[in-house]
Amino acid sequence: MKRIIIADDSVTARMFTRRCLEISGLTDGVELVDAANGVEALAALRDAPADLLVTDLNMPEMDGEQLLARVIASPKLNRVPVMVITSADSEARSEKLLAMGAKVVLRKPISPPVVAEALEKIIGAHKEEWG
Amino acid sequence: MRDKDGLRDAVMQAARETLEGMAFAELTPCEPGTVPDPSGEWRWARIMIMRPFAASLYIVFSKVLITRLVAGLLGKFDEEPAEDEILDALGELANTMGGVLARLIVPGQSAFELSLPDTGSSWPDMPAGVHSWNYMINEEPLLHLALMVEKEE
Repeated sequence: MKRIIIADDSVTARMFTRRCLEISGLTDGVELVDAANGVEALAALRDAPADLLVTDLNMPEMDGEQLLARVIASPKLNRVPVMVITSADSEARSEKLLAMGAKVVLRKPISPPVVAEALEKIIGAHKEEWG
Repeated sequence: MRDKDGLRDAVMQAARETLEGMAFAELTPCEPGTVPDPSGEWRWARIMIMRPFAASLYIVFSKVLITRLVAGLLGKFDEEPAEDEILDALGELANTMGGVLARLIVPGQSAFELSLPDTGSSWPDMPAGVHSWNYMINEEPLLHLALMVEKEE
């Protein structure tokens, strides 16, 4: 079973992201796992293999940029594609995150079509993992 | 930095984009002279732009209005959302609105930094000199938005 980790400190934001993923129709049969910050997301990534990490940037404990850096630096995790969904996004910040290794950076407020397009792009680039 | 009218337009655009995007809600200005009663039931959130200059955006909803909005957001049509659900949703609205606002008022393509949102019940303490505006959502009062640009670089 495919597994997607959704990291955001807001329950509302996680629910909103989850709804956008579900509406895309691309996550049928996929396990969606909630994480309230980078520490929880990292633990979830280490618990079991994941096929995608969706993360906010502005979170307590460990923020999204720190989480991305940890994932990219880990030989065990750096194949997991990372989608950043954030309100704290400028052109400069997006470029930095993409240069660090994020596959996609989306601005809040997100919408189902925007998330679906981003997910299709990631799936297209990781066909082997997604089957 | 924009003048007061420019700030009002930016705040309204940020609120409109956020509320339409997240809650399919329509924002319209209240009649001139509308004054909120601080002794009423309110729920508020504050988000701060920390860099490249300091500013605070206050978002204050009447309890009735935010409860209805969050019920729609969460798909809770048979029961009232819990207080922690209301404040979490309000914090996320503030976070999203703050990001849109920062992209509108931070010059050029400069990087900016947002705080984590604060939330609370009752009317918030706001600094003197804050710019504020009143709105209705789907023709229902009242959303009070206030912006304080504290320090410009």
